[in-house]
Amino acid sequence: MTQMSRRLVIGALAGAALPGVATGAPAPALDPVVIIEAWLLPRYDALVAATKAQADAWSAFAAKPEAGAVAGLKAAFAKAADAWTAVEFVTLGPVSQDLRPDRFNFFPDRRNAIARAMGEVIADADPARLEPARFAQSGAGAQGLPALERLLHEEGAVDALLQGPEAARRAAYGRAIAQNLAAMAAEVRTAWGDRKAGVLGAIVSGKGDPALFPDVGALPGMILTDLSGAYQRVTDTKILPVLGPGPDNAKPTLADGWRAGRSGRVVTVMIQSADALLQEVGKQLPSRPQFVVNKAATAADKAAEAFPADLSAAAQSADGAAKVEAAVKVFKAAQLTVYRPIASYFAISLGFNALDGD
Amino acid sequence: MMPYHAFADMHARDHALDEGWLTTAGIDQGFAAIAVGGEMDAAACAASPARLHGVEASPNGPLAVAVGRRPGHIALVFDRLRGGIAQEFAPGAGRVFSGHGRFSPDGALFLTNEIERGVADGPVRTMGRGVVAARSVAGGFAIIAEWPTGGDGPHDLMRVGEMLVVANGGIEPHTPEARDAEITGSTITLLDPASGAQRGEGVLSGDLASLSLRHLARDGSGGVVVAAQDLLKDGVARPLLFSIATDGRLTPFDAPENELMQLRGYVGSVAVDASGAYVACASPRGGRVCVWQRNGRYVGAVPLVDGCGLAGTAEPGRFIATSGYGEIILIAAEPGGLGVLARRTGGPRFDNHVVRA
Repeated sequence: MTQMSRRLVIGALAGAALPGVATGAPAPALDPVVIIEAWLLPRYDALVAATKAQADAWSAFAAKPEAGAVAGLKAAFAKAADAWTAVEFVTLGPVSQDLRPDRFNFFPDRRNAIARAMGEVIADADPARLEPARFAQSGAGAQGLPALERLLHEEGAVDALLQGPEAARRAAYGRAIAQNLAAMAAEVRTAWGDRKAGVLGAIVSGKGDPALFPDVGALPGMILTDLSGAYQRVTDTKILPVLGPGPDNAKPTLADGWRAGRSGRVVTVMIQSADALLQEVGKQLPSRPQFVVNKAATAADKAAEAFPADLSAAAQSADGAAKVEAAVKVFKAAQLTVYRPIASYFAISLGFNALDGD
Repeated sequence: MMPYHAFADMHARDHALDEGWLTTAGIDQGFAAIAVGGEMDAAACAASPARLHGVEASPNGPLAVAVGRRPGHIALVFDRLRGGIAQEFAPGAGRVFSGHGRFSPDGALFLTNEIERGVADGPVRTMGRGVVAARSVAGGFAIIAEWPTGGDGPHDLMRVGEMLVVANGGIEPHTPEARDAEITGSTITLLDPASGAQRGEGVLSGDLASLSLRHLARDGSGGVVVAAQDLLKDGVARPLLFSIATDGRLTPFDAPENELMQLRGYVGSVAVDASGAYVACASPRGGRVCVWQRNGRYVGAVPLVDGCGLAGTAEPGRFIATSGYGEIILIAAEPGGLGVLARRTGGPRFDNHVVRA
C-alpha cells in the first residue's frame, strides 16, 4: 500500500471505533492491583509454604528413610498439589517463564514421557544429576508433581522407597523434585515482589514489562483471560478426556492425579479457586452485575464441592457421568459471566490467540 | 539482543513503517477486517459477526478478502482503501472454509481451501477431505473449478512460482477428533495452478507424524516454508518450521532444544522478510516470536504475549507482529541477534494473521 492510499484508509475510517482506542467516555476500569494482592499473591504464598514444607519432609526422609514418615510425605504432597492446582490456570506473570507450568505439572502425559524420564533418572546413579541447577534442566516430565506422585502412589512405590536397590536413589530423587518445586514457587513469588519492587511494583508504578505484559492497561484482560481459561481448562483437560464417549469407553487413567486419588479433587480445587477469583473481580462491579456473578460463582462452588471425589470411577457409570456432566454445565455458566457481565461492563478485550489459535 | 547500531537507525525505522498491512481482529462483541497504517494505527475496514482468519489483498485493485475462521461459512470481500463490504461469498456445498484463501498473481482468481464436512462415502472416511475452489473475481467469486488438495484438513495455500502449494493439516488440532490422535496425516502437496494436477508431495518422517503443517510463507525467490503445530505434548522438542523443496521434500529448521520447547508445540503464523533472508514464527502459546536465517541458522526470539500475527515490512530484516492484547511491535533481525525497535499498545484484539497490503 502506498503512503497516499494508506492515508485514504485511515482518513475514510477515522470514525470507526475500535476497543482499546479511546473514542469517547472511558469505560469503568478494573483495578488489577487489588486482585493480584487479594487473590493471586496469597495463593502463591500458600504454594511457597506448601512446597517448602514438602521439601523439608523429603529432606528429612532422605536422611532417615522410615516407613512411618511416608504418610507425612503423602500429606505434604496433597497440600502442595492442592496449592498448585489453585493457581495452575494462571499464565500471567513470571510463572509463564522458563517452562514453569510444564515443569510443575506435566499434564497431560500422552506418551508416557514421565515414566520414561523417571526411569532414566532412577537408573542413573550419578548424584550430580540431582543437584538443583542440573535437575532444573531435566526434561519437564522428570521434574514435577506427577513424578512425585508416582514415587509415592504407584503400585509398589512405597516399598521401593523403603527397601531394595533403588530405595536410596528414589528417596534422593523425591527430595530433588520437592526442592525443585519449592525453588520454582519461591522464584515466582519473589519475582512478583510487592508494591515497591518486582512485577507488582512495576504495575503500581505504571510501567510495562514487554516479557510479561504489553502494558499495564492489558492486565485486566489478561486476568480475565486466565479466569475464563480456568473453567475451560477444567472441562477440556481434566474432565472431558476422562469421560470419553460414554461410561463404557471412559478413560479413567487420563485423569490428573488419579494415582494419588486426586482426580475429583483437582476439579474441586481449581473451580473453587476460579470462583474466588470471579468473586474478587465481581467486587468491582455495581451491585446488579455483581449479584449475577456471585450467583454463578456460588453455584459453581457448590457443584465443585459435590463433584465426585473419584472422577475416574464416576466416569465409568451412567449415573456418575451424568453428575459430572451436570457439574460441567454449572462451571460453563460461571465461565460465561467472565464475558458478560464482567468483560462487557469494563469493555475489556480478552486475548484469544493463545487459547484457541488455528 | 540487537546490536546498538540497528537501534540507532531511526530513519530507516520510519521508512520501514511507511506502508500498510491488513489483519483481522475482535472488536466489541464482533469481528472485523482491519487496516494497520504506518503509525501502527488500526482502523476497521469491514465488520463481521463471524470470526475471520486469513486476509489477502488483491494484487491489482483495492479489493481484499478476509476468510472466515475454520470452520468458516463466510468470506468478506472489502474495499481496503475506502472501507466497507463489497460482497460476501460462501464455501461450496457441504464444505467449510479452512480460513485461508489467496489471489492468483494476476488477481483474476481467488483460491480458497475448503474442507468437506460429514460426507458419507461408503466405508471410506471422507470427512475433512480438502478441496481447492478456484473462484472468478470478475464473476462475483463464483467457483469455476475445483481440485482435490490431495489431503485432509487443508489449511493454508500459496502460489509459489509455477506451483500452488497446499498445507494439508490432516487431523485438525484442538478438535474432538484430535483428542486421542497421535498421527495427523498432514502433507504438503504441490499442485499445477492451472489444472490442479498434483506435481509433488511432502510427507513428514515417522518421528514427526504428530505435526500438523498449517501455515506457509514464500521468500520471493521461489522458496517456501511451512510452520506446524504438534498434536502431542510429550516433552519432545520437535521442529515446527520446515523448508519445502521444489519436489515437496521437507527440511526442518533446527534450534536449541530449549528454544523449541518454548514454542510449546505451537506456531500460529510464519513470515519471510523483504530480503528473503529471515524467517519468523509466532507462538501465542509460547508468547514469543522466533527468527531464523533462511539458511536455517537460528537467530533468537523476542517476547510477545499472545502474539500471533506476523508479516514482513518493506525493509529487509524487519517484521511486524500483533497480539490478542492489542499490541503491535516492530522487530529487527540481523545475523547477530534481534530486538524490538518500536511498540504500540491499545489496539483491538488482533487475530492470528497480518499481511502486507
